[in-house]
Amino acid sequence: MNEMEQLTRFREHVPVPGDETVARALAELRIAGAGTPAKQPAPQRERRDRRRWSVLLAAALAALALVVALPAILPLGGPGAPDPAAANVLHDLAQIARHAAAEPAPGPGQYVYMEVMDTQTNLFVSGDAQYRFVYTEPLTQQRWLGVDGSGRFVTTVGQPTFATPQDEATYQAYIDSKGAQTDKWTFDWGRSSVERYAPGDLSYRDTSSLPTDVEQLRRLIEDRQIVDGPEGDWETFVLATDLIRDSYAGPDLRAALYEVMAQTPGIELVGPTTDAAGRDGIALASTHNGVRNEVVFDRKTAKILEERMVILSNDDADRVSQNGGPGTYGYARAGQTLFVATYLTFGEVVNSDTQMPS
Amino acid sequence: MDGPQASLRTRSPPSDKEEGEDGLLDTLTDAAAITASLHDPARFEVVFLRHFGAIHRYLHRRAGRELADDLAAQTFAVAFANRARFDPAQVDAGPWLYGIAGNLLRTHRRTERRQLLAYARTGIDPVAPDEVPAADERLDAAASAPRMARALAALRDDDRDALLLFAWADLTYEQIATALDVPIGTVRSRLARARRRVRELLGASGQEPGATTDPPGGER
Repeated sequence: MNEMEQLTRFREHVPVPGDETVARALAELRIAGAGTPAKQPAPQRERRDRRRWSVLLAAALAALALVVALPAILPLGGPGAPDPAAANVLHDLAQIARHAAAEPAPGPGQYVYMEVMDTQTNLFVSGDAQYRFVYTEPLTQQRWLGVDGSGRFVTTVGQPTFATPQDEATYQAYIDSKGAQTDKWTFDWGRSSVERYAPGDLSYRDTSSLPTDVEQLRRLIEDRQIVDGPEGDWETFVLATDLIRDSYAGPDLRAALYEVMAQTPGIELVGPTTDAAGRDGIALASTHNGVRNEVVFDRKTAKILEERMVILSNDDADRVSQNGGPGTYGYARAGQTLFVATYLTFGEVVNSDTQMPS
Repeated sequence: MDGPQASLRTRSPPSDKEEGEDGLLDTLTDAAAITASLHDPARFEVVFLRHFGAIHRYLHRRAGRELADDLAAQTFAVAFANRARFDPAQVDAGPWLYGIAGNLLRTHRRTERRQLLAYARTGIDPVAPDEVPAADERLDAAASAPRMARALAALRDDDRDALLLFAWADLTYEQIATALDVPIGTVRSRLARARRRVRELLGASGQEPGATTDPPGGER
């Protein structure tokens, strides 16, 4: 039996809902229908909003260019060519990585420890569409990743912040409306959880056999032979940074990964920045479908400090929002940073999945 | 109360085996029913009756009956509220509804993963503890299901969504692309990655020798 047949059989005895469940849901639908007229798109207003945000974004970029006095914000090499300003920074990072001291690689029975702080902005829409609020949820995760693919994650979810006082009031009203069911509908804010993974459950990439020749490495990444993913230069940037971040790459390999990125069209220089932990770095980015993936690099160690997802355009959000309220980016404003992952501790080798680095 | 909203509220609930009033289940496509529901909200019940059972069962398999009861009802309430945004060129509302259900499920992803890991550890499925397979299937299920649970828990969220829409919702690649609102190439990548990862994890846990890896039917 192959994996798809096994998956098809997994929980296949789950039944269709009973008449009572169907009737209750239909009643809820009728109640929702009684109070909710059909929504009509308002294209004029949305187009106006987009123009306004485009102007603001253009102004913000112009201001950034003046403040940081970068040689280039926009690609100078033309379509299909690497951005010279981004390439220069990546060459520098490759040099730094190449000359960094080799760190001890984890051996059998050892773990790589990482601590990451995530901040994610979400939209919640209740079933009857009556309650709709945007909240930002902080999350800290400690990860112990063994070379055998085992590991342990300790996750602590912080308290949310709401986009506006109205969002918070809507959240409170929603919780109040749930009455006795409140426990189920409160989120796991303020709680910690521990997840343990058996050998093979997690991906530990052994990069020791990867080529450090830039051309060979570039072909392997572009052909998606090391890490799978969609086609496109923007994704090559993401995959290369994945390898730097997730794997325990040695100095020569990390230098080669930076050189691969320096040859990749579409990577842009965002400029000097400060991460959520207050550390200075330099940000590079790739953009796809109105979403910019920014990566902040430490200019002294060439390690990754932070990753961000920034919504540049609401065009994609309009398309996604066909799915109803909680579309992927349907609630985002142009220019809004929806996701930030800040790597507080990275790559320390420890001897057990409970040991903290010294 | 007169008017379309009143007619939605007062229509009696047919069972899932009935055609509904006027035989609409046989005569109206999803797209036609949704378009008609802009003026006559009661027409939306055609979409509900056609898809509620499948959407509920999909959510039940992923997150358990209790959450499925709530999320399936929410799926149709959200769909109804946003029906003016439905693209009538799609004809079949299934992918659109699975997309909404998936978005609602997103808030409960950590719950889903914890349930899968609990199944992997204990061999008891928190999602369907009372659903006992036939006797001749028990041995096989007992041997492989916890491994599958662990494998699903280890997948990236986006990959798991694509894989389960393919395996459990029987959507085609194109329909999954519609449901997830991503290009079809991304669907192929996610499915390939998810299937390879599941294969690796099942194999690492001792899949029986001689098991094949080709999908039944390949790409839909």
